[in-house]
Amino acid sequence: MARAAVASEAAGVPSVSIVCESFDGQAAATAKGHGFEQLPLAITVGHVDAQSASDMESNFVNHTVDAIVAGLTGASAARNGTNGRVARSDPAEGNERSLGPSTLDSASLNPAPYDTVASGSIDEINDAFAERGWSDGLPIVPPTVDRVERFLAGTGLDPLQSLGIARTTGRDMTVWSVATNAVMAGCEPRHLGVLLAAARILADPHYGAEHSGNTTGADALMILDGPNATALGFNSGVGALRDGVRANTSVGRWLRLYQRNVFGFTAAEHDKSTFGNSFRVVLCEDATALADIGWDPVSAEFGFGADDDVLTMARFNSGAIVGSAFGSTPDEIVPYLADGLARITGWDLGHLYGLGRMHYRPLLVLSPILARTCATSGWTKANLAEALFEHARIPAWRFEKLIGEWTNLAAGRPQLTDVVAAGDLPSQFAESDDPDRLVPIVSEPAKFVIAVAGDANRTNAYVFSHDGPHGDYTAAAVEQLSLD
Amino acid sequence: MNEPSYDVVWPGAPSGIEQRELAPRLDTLAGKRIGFLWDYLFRGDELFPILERELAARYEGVTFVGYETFGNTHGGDEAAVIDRLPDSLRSRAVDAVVSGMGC
Repeated sequence: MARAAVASEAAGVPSVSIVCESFDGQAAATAKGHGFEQLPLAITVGHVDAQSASDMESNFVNHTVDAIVAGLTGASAARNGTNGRVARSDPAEGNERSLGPSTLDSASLNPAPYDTVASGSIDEINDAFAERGWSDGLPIVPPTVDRVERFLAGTGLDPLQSLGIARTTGRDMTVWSVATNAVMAGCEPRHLGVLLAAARILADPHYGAEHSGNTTGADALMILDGPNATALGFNSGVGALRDGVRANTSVGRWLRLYQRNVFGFTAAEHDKSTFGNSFRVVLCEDATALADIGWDPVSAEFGFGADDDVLTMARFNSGAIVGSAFGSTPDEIVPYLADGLARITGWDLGHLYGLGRMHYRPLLVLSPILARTCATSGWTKANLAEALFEHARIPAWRFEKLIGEWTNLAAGRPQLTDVVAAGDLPSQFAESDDPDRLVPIVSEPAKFVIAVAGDANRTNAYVFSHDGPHGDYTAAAVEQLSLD
Repeated sequence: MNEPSYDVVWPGAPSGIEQRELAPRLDTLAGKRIGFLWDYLFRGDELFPILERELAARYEGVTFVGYETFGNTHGGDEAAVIDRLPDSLRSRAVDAVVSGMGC
């Protein structure tokens, strides 16, 4: 919404953006991050989704339309003497008022990389970082110049080299900022290659890092593949998705800190996550198990070979265990795995139709023994995905309610038969018009992403629902850096 | 016991962009062409018709270009829609834009 308005302003066409109450801070931060900090906003009373049609119309006509006109004509500037930068119709006051930039103060800071911003004991540093919103609530390692320089020692990298522009704040993603947050998170210098790969993914428009503060609160998962992952200290076995191993945990923590400090994902700026999740540790695939059964890693789906060290990232909404899968053949275990995938998929279907178009790609993490059960029967990953496509299904009526009546994520609350007729979903979604017919949860089998990790001999799986283009699967090579 | 003291650096990063001036505002909406941009969320399909009605009642000769003309400004098609937006606005002689809905 604000990004479209920014594009209009850049093209010389004046704009105003309609935002719900309490969304103005994020919209203003987005505008500033795109170089238009004066972008006019017109604010609606409350949240439109929680209002009757008549209340919404009354609120809009009485409190928002004037702000829209003011935003396009600058009328509020004349009345308020504030250049109308953020016009708001406040129902309590019954008139427009201007919101200042107070919530953006932290985004206005620009110390030089080597400047000292705080001095003191470790407790005092932690207090200062917490007060300034620069930490995640856990103690940090003080990022002294010496520590940051040592983190980069021997790499030959220019600390001021930019890896891209943060698509929220407009900040330069410098190597120095990557290393500073890595020191704070407790990362080891040998993990720098993984961190730089993550930074390149964040800079890639395909990933959509700017959506990382969306209201439903998905969080990123980094999936690491390659022959050197174990040597770098990453755990792919017991507790693969749990904190407890420094490499997996500190790199996962780094991502949250980096998104906070460089991308501005704080409540004062770009984070509108209603609940959110704790940061996710790196999921390292079990390369040995994959090689044993002849399956490709996740990275192969994105153009890399099994001999490449690769980081793949995507954002996921919800996760659930598929516990104690029983069976000695894939035919026996697939219905249960598919049930887990269908169970975890709810409003996220909007990324299949509505919010996105065929973007939904849930992740299935198999323990090695479950993967082996499939492989020893001659099944490839593609065979498994095809079986999941056939079994992971829900009634059409439920699909339509999830994208329509219950969420309003697909405008007009369309029937799947109409969506298929329009060519926006494949024919499997409209094999009849029976509302009880079962329909898939993805557009094609290849949309299932399958990883292998965890305790080698436990018959459990884990499923994640995916946030579509709000964090689409993006992979980057992990370069092996020479370190002192 | 004296604790060590640390001089620490900022975990942020320098701005890589310049702030810019807004496009010039309109003197009036009368006789102007207003384009609607929508992210296909949060009841824009109900609100844009209301806005069109209200503006038409207030400003003589104001006309509108519907959101369906430009495509979904959010989600999977966002990048493509926004990339072609300047040309889309120019070719349709749009004077101003109302973009919604952020909630």
